[in-house]
Amino acid sequence: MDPLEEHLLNITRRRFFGVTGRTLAAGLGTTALASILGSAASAETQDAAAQKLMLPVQHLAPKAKRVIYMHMEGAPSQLDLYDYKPELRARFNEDLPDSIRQGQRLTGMTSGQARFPVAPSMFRFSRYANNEDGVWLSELLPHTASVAKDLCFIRSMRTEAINHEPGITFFQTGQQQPGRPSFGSWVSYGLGSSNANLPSFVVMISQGFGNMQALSARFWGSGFLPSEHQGCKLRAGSDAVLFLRDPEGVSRDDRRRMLDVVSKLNEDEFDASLDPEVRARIAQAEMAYRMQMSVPDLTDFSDEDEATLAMYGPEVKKPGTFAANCLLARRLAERGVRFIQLYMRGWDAHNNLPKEIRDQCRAVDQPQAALIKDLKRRGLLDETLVLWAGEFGRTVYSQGTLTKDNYGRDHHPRCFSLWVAGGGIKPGISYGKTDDFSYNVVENPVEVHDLHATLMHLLGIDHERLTFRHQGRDFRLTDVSGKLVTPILA
Amino acid sequence: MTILDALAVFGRLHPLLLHLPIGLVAGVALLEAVALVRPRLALRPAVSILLWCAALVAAISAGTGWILAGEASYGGDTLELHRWLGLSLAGVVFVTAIVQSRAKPPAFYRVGLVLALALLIPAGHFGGELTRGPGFVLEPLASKRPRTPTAMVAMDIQRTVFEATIRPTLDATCVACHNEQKRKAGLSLVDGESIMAGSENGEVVVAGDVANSELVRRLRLPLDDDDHMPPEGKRQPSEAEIAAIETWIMDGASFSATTSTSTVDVAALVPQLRKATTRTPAQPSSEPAARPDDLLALQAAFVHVELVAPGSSYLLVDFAGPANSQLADDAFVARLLQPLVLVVQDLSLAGSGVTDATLEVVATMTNLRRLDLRATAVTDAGLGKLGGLAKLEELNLVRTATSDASVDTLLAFPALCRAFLWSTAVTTQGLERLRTARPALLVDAGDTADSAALDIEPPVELAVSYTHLTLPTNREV
Repeated sequence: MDPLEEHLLNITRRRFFGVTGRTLAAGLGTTALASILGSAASAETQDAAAQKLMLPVQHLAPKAKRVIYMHMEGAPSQLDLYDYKPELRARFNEDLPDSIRQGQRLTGMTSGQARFPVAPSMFRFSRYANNEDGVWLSELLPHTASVAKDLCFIRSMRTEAINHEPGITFFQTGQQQPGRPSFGSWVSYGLGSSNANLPSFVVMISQGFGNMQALSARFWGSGFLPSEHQGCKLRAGSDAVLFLRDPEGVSRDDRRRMLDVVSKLNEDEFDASLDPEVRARIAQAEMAYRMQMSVPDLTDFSDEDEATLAMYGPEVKKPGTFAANCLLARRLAERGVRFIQLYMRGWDAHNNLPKEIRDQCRAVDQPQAALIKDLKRRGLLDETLVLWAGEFGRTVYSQGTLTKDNYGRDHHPRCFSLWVAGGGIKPGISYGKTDDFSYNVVENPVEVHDLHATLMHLLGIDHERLTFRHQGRDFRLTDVSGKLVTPILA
Repeated sequence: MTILDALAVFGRLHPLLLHLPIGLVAGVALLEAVALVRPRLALRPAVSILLWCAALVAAISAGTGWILAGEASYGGDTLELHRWLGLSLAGVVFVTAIVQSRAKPPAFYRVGLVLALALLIPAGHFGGELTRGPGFVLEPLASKRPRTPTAMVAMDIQRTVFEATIRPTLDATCVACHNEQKRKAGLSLVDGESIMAGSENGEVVVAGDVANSELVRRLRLPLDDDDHMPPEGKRQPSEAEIAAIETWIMDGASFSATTSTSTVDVAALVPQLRKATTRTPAQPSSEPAARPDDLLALQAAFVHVELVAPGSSYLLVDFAGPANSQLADDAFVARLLQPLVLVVQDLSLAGSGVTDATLEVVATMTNLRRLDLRATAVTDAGLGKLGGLAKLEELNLVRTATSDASVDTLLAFPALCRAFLWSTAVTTQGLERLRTARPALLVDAGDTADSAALDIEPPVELAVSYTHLTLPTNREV
């Protein structure tokens, strides 16, 4: 369509939907309302209500109401945690067979190595009871193993990217190049919030103990979606959200009056410019005002009993730790936040992997298991999707020096492991297989887009139908790919 | 634009042009008849001109028709009949015109006219059926007779999900063009066999895979999209009807699953369909429906509301927004929920300030399936009032004062299949009673045992000597 024509149409459409309606909500509201209001309402009142009501996008009956996504930045080693390859022990320091590598590309960090010596995991594995014939898990994750019957392990993940920045971008936005909306933003855009006093997409970051890579705020950015859908980062310091507190001498009433005046000015600006970002600004100012009340209550753990705190481990009272963030995640889930994302940094173990992964696992193992147990006993696991994933896997061959008790692993996109749990996911199963070297997927490959499609499906969204028109084409999280992984659905 | 596109435009003039030979052939026959009775009127030159005109437009109509038949997605026996009858008609008119224009035409040329008339009627009829659907002319008479069911329908409960929910939609919106006689795009949607046979472009329904089911994709395209079905201007299925088709496909697109064997909640789908197809605002409906103002009141109070499923008339209502404020007390909740008691199916009051007083309102929510009272001040006495909730499937009482006194209350809910009782006053004996009295009831009291280790690998020993590789260790930039 001619851009000018489209702009003019936008004007009339916005006028039509009026001041209180959102374009998205109004359009969807009409169809959704037709069924709910039925014959009780005349067409006229239905249209009027549709302008004001904001109902979530629904393509299917949702199985899950929200997502807790623990992203392990740096890419944890599948070989040392989830992908048990005992036969490799006999191949210590052997060269990786060409028949396995098949000339596939390596990163610049190891492509110059003279040899690619196989480095079996130095950690013991045990088989834990689940709903199949058990799952082999590393000694590094004893607590996680204790909830094995609630988790669904996928060992056949694949990704396209081989470096962190494009890898995380791909996992978060469905595209390696920056600029697309993140997974959480899509969910926020599609489903909105079930708690108007908190953002629908919240991000928390924990510092790691191993080699860390940069985390860009655009990983939780909203791309071309309205910016109220970007992730709101909760900080570890005394102010969980910056500039949320009123300055000294400003009362809450003063704040309210100021917001009213600013909103009025912004509305005038919107009427003149029709820039949707002005609307986003108004929405965010109002949200911040409400968060002045809701956030302090959220981050105050004093209503948690000692046993619960103990379950998350000794670090739970230290803001910013993974333990504290896991407990916060549960509190956010209880309060109806749609998309809660935890970043744990420091999994990029190119060298000294055994030491680094021990420290990393010590930080995440107990809290993440506690989160699962805590959600479950509160009746929330059934309706919450929990995802634990890095951006790719790590190589079976050692990067740098290989000794009996030390090795490093390079980036490996061709296979990695993750787990999902909760709403609509089959509990206590494993899916997919890798070859003897955990190098290539040999059974049931799952692409990142497939995972996105499946999680969206459980949230009641058809990934092919949640689209946003930008620069002349419809975009979606899964771009032109994505197939449901039906065998893992409960 | 290619020459083919131009030809296609030409082809689409067929429905317009075809009316000319009909009128002209009939006109010639009329004049000829008059000429027989009143020879003195000397109508022959007029007949000759009209007959040549008729031959010309008949030829053009046949040509455009041929192009249209190739371009558009027509097919089936009706099309072939129409094609050859139309061509014959054009041929007969042309030959008749040649014979008639001889200086002294033989009398038998009138046989040609009769033949042309005889061809005109069926050709026109089948052409009409192509665009209007079979039996269009006699439809007003036929619809007054009760329709003979296509399958044996003994009792409603034994109807297949397909017959009960999907077929009425297809019959009403698709079958006029996609039937056995007139298979547009080679597709017929009259029964299971024909649906699964697909169209000339492949299958249209992929069991369990809505995303790859062409049928749904077409229905879901924007109305102005060229591929959208049914075409713009034809009757469109409602959102609820499309949603029902999707649910049916997701469920495996079975033609044999009955309303009692299917996992699809047909009971929930069918009333929607009925409502969607016969929406007459004048008639009072016995089905519960929410008033928009009541929903707006919820949203104005920051209470979350959504449909439990697309096309459903039931609501999920979550008080998470106001729950942690002082606002959310009994009066607040009652004011908002009172008008919606019949449509709420999933209610969360977790963390709010409600007490037993609210449970009196909840007790009237006869369609309630899921109730979350986590971390509220409700007591055994209040729960006792909820006896009437016959459809309640899930009840969350985590961090409430619920005690063993409520065990019987819980057992009295006929449909209850999940109860969350962690951090309540229910004792292990109470849990035991619940679990033994109803084994199918999943009782989660936070006492689930950890996953046990089944095998433990012995300490790893690497029987290989140290190998030191001296390799450059590049750090990532």
